Amino acid sequence: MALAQLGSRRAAGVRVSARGHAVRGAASRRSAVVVRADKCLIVNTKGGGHAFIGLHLAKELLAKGHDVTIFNDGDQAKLSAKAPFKEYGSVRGLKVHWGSPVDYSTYPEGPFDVVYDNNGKDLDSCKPLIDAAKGMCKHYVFVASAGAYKANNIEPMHFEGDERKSSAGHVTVEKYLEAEGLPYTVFQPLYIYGPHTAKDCEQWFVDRIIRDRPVPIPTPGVQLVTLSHMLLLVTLSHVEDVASMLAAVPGNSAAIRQHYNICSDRQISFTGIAKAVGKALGKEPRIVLYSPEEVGTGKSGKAEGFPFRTIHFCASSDKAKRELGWKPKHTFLEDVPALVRDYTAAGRQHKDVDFSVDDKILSAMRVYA
Amino acid sequence: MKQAKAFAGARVQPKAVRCITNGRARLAVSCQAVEPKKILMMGGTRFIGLYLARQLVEAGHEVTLYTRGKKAITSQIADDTDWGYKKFASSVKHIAGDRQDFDDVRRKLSGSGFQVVFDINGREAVEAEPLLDSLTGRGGSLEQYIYCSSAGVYLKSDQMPHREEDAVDFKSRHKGKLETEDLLQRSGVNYTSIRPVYIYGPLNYNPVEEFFFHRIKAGRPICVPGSGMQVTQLGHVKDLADAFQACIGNPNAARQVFNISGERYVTFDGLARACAKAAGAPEPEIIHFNAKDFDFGKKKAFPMRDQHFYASIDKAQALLGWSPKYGLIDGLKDSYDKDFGLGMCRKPADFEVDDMILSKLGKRSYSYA
Repeated sequence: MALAQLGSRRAAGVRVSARGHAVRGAASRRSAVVVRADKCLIVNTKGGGHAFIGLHLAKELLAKGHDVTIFNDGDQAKLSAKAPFKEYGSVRGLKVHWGSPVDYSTYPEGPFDVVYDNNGKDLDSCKPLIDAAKGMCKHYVFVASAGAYKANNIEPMHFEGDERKSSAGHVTVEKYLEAEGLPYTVFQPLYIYGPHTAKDCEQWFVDRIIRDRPVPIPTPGVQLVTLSHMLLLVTLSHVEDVASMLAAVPGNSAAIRQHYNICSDRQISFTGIAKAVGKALGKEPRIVLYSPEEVGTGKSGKAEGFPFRTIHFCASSDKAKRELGWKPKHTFLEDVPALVRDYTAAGRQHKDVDFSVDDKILSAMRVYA
Repeated sequence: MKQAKAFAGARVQPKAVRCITNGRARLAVSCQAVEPKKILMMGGTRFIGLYLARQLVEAGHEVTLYTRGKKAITSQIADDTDWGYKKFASSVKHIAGDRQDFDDVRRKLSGSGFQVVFDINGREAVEAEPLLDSLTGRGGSLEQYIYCSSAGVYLKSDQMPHREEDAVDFKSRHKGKLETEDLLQRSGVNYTSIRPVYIYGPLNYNPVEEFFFHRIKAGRPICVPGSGMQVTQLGHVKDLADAFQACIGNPNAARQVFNISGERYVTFDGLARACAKAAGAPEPEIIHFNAKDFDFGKKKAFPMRDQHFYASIDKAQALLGWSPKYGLIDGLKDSYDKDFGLGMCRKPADFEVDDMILSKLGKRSYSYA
């Protein structure tokens, strides 16, 4: 698509649509919200756990009266039949554009008031978009990841401002945003579940429990003799809650140059997930605890075949609650019955699942499926 | 690449935005001008009440402690200045009596004119009844009944943290506290119930930090049950006192329950490390053991419940205008510097359980003393 040549247009100060009105609150960040219709661009990734954020964010923004374009990375022919991309066509008013965020010749027509980067993970993949957006947009939102936080061996919960891994690609991007003076906000999601995901989360548990197979759950790397029933905690967040926080940005200038964790305010243990799924299926899950180190399927926070890292992975979203007036509507426990119904409605219990890693673990633990 | 033309759009003058730093320092309880009250404190000579009574007197309230008088009504503590203590000791009043003698309580309190009750040491609902009888009703003076409950009332759950709306456990050993909360609620009095998690700080009589400090001082390893990844939470006694104080004359506190503790959660292993840091000691050796492999008789092997146990404080932060001042290591340092590090303790060191564990696990017991 050729670059559109538009005459220079100076954006006026605060544009207020017929529907727009200024919202004044207490002397806090929330008093900076001005409601108006913005032209939003969501640059969306082609796979992985964040792929469906674009779809849900688009819906939220459209519902607020904004103009929304999704610029999706990847090959339209290959991807548009898959979740979540196959849903784009059913979203009224959504403009969809396929291309490559590192190739300007594929870029959609601007200008855009708000740009969401839900694609790049490092400077190479983010820089072209940042350079293009600089001077154009009023707000640049980077959907990063709470995975950039450094694990803390005293306090497991991540707060904004906590130390992050120096090697994290996201951190380099943020430094660039800062250096280039963009009006940016950084969001750090954790594990996300919900409709039309491209990546399994709780489905891993359903795969096993619905087939009456044992559920091998990794314990932190301790010796077999000290296995504990008390396991690692994760924060699982519903994609709609993630989307609603991201959609709170347009017009909220006080969010500029801030970081926010996006996650549920509840954590759940691995066994808690298994028990909740079992309850929804009316089955008692057969939980088999194992040490990935001992069995040889992983170490240092990784367990082959398991959907989560084997460390506590939780963060506080209190800052977003206080400053963005955001509240999560979902809790994972309440959502489990619906998630299980979605699984069975899609007929997944009849599909083949690769249990080879499970079998390796179970035989090492001398458990029979 | 003509970056500026990627969106072929407008140039926007970046607005100068005030960069509000990601400050985690928060205002503690602001000294709101609350008119002086006539305050009755049940207890007040052991731990929480020591700090709360001082704060209340300093704020200009008239404070009466109701105790049996077995312990001196006032005694100087590490946080006192000489002058401050003299002022406190001469201001605070006393009613000598046994709160278990319900008729005596009624006699002593009828017509007494107390406006606020801090019930710090009540365990059973029957203990609150005589207070309600004598201070409420026709001609009653009571404006607020503020009760020290416990987060121990929450039903164990896979989904954490405990939030005020969560299910409680009427079978727990804290059911007396629940029954008291229930009574207060049914009585129609303006009550507030505070649910602390683990309280710590100088003069703590519960062996929370003491357990760790004993072992750290003796250069011994710290024996932690299970994986050590259990997540819990400590709250400094002075922050708790601030929270109690923040309830006075606060309409947001009316008929509400609040979890009060530190902002950050901590793992069992993390707590051992944090105590060592606070004591200025090197990182401790941590030995994990399976509690099921031992019979410790009546002795407790570890001061905390072997489960995840922590609560969200965001309700109190939002509604009471309160936030903890102490982080974990600062708070433990305060406890160490003013109490345990000075060679004081409530229970002398007893390493019998440790030695049982170490010998069974084939580790020799040793001391760096």
